[in-house]
Amino acid sequence: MRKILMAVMRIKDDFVNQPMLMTLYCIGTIICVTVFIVFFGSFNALMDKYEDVSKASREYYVFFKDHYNVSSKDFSFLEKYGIQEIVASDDLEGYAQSELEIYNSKKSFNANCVKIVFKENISAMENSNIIQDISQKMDGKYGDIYISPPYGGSATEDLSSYYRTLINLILIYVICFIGCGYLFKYVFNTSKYENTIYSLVGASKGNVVKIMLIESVILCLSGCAVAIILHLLFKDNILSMIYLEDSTYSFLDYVYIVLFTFLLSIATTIPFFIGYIRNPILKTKREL
Amino acid sequence: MIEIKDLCKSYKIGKGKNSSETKALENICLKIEDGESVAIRGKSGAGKSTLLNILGILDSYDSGSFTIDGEEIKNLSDKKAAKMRNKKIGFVLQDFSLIDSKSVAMNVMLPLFFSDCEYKEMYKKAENALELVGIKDQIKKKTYQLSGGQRQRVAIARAIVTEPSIILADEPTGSLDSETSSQIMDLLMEFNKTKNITLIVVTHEDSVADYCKRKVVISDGKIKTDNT
Repeated sequence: MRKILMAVMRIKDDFVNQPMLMTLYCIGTIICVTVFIVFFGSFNALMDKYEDVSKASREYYVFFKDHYNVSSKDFSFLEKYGIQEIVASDDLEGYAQSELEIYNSKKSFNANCVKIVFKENISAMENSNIIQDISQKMDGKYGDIYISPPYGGSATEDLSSYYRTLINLILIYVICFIGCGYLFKYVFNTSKYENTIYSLVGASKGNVVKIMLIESVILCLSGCAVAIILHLLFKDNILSMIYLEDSTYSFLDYVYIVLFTFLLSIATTIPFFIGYIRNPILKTKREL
Repeated sequence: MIEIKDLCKSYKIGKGKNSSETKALENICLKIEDGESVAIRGKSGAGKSTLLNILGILDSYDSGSFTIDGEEIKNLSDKKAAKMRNKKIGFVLQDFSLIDSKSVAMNVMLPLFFSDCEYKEMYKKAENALELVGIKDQIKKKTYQLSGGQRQRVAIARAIVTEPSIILADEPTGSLDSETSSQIMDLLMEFNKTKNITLIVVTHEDSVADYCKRKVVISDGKIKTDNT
């Protein structure tokens, strides 16, 4: 508790003694966290998109003219290609009104469309075999059928804009992070005098490091809190300009962001603290 | 009681092949009883500040033995050494070593933050210490608002707030005029006499050394004279 109190007092003093440096450090931290939040959401969006694109290259749609009661066993002839899921749906002009996952289930569903997703990517040869198999086994039995083969576009092409945005975000983050690191170095150097006095009056190096660590964690978490508030306030207008579409955030996402920032702030400060611990008190005193 | 036997300390100057070793202290033997007042004198570079830093457990030594109240200092961990500095030693330095951005009270309370002192008692103890050095009325001021003499008084209050058995003063009057210097030395001597605190003063000024009963002169890292 005493260490927390001392850390808070040090932060207060830092703001009084070097307002410009501390303001820049705080702004840097807030920008860093905000960029990371945007990156986190965009990365999730990319992963979702990647999954969609990947799935699209493995999924077949079979459309019937009428509704039929379909179940998993009707598609057992496709097992040899490795099925991931089969979804039967009541389709109206390309939109599923209702649907049911029927693969590995005994349930049947009155559907006019069935989506079959395979586990692995489909080669050209397999594609023609699958289409042939479906036609042979289902055509006639289910009236006239129409088979929509997997999406043929290039996944890389589709995701290139996502990658560009993410790389830009990483670059901005790295620049902000390096800037923050330098500012922290200045903050750390200016606190050397005070740390030496702590040692003189009987603080162990461990105690001094704990105070410094609490100080940097308080600053980092405060920056996190401000960044999250700013993100919540501006995510739908200003920040949406640099977002990837479909970036969504859950409460757990924010927890991960805070946790990551917290761990990163500790990891960044560790080299400074090791340097401090290794230096004899007298050396630090002489450097002043 | 402080006891030093055959203590040696050397520094490496330079790096790699061009480095050379300089002996800062050589076979120092010194026994200081509780409540003594000792002036350590010597020319610049004689080794007096090195000795004071070792006495204050701020610096290590190469060989020999150094004990405070029977406890060998060389074997102490950083944590234990810090605890001993906090409990037994108070520092009064030439540059005052105060934190200017903090209030007088906070500067004096600082050692108590690292002790077992109850939080509620800290301010009370700081008040008492400041009363003893005669500047209780300045308690709420920032240290940069004080004069040199007042700042040194704050440093003395900080040194005595934990009721240590030893005060180490490194050129305590070095930044002060002669009148203020004598006031500061009077104050230190008063604590030495009334509270039985061992006072060790490093100085190059005869007028300051004359306050102490015992004078140790160091030259080239060796004790040249030790007069009581």
